Amino acid sequence: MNNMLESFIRNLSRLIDSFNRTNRDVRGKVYIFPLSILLTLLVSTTDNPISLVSAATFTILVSLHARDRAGMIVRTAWYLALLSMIIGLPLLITSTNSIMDFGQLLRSIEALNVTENSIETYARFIIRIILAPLPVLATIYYLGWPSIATRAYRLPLLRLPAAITTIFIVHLPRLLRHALSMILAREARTFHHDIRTAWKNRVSIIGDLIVGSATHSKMLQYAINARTFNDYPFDFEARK
Amino acid sequence: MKPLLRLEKVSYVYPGNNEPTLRDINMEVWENEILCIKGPNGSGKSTLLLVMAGLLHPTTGTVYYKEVPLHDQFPEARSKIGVLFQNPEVMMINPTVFDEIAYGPRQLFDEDTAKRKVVEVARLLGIDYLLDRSTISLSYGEKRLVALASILSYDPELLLLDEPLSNLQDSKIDRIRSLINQLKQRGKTIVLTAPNRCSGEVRCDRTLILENGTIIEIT
Repeated sequence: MNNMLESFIRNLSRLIDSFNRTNRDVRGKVYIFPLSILLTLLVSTTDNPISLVSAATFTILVSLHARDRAGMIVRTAWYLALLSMIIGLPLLITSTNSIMDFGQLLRSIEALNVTENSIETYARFIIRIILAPLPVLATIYYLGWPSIATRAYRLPLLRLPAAITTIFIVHLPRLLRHALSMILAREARTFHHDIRTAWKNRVSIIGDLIVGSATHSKMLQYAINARTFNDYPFDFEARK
Repeated sequence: MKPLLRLEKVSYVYPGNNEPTLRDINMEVWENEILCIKGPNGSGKSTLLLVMAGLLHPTTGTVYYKEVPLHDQFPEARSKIGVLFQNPEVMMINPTVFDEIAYGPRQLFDEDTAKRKVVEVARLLGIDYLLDRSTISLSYGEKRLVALASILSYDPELLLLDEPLSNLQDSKIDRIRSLINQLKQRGKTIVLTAPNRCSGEVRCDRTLILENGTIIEIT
């Protein structure tokens, strides 16, 4: 199997896993979580340099405090940079001032007209993609999701979003590892190691993954319902 | 004597299936008994447990808990029935083992009582050293014990255990087996499933054999 793909899935799973680490020394520091959400909202919705600088400063400060988890924050920034560099590539050759039809898009691709303006747009896009989620993610690495969730459960309005996020954080790494083991199991029985076969194998897990996830989530829902006696923190079917 | 749980002409068809998974099931679970449901894979044992727990609504027929239709007693009745799923991973919905075990008690008691119950149950199962651990980092056997602790912590009257001894090391099988016997002595009613026989052997009071969704024998 392509080592890059394997290491990408493993690392992504490890990164999400590390949200779950508890930090015993966060008493009185949980207030920074709402601040991080505010910064994330600001960077997501505005292009203002002040909000970008604030988010960056906040993240750096949290990383300095997080010490042993600073590496995770840097790694996450690197992942975000990598992803945004790939998905932002069209910005280098398209104009952001007008909506382009398909023909115009094809012509601009053909012309490969990279301008100063498009480079700036591309760079801005990458910076925003990195800085938008980073304050929240850095705070979660620092505080540990359990510390945040425990406090969020005390507030009725935040209980459900916190519970859903918890399930996401707990179960997504499992799903990723399951996907990885499916790919490995297929590759172990594949004797032609050309790129075409390798990608055929990888793509073939999608259907199994969807079916497996559906079954898993159904059982998960039963398990939640079995231990939900009132509206806390879920109320999916408790009253049916 | 009245049964704790009674199933009357219960059938269940999964949505999209033509064939019923359970067919015309009539059975009782008596208070303070250990009932073992045996049968081959696909015979409907897990589905029967889900129906008994009220998590699946029977297509036809009724499930009675203390002679009152179970579905009329929700959500209160949920705290009286504990379900251990075959795959303990689906029961892990909290980040740490402590939160996982405290999930039920936190809904019923104040935080201090919930904490006390968590510690008590963790000690009973010998998993108190795991309390601070993330639920993801546990081994399969540890997950099974944590899942069991998470239902024992709210002290349900009826325990529905889906293959509690399967895929475990001998030491953990012994621990769960002796725990099941202890729970019976404490007055709990236990229904457990096993693929071929009540492995390990838990001392079952009665055994029910299920095949193709039909009860073929009760001994």
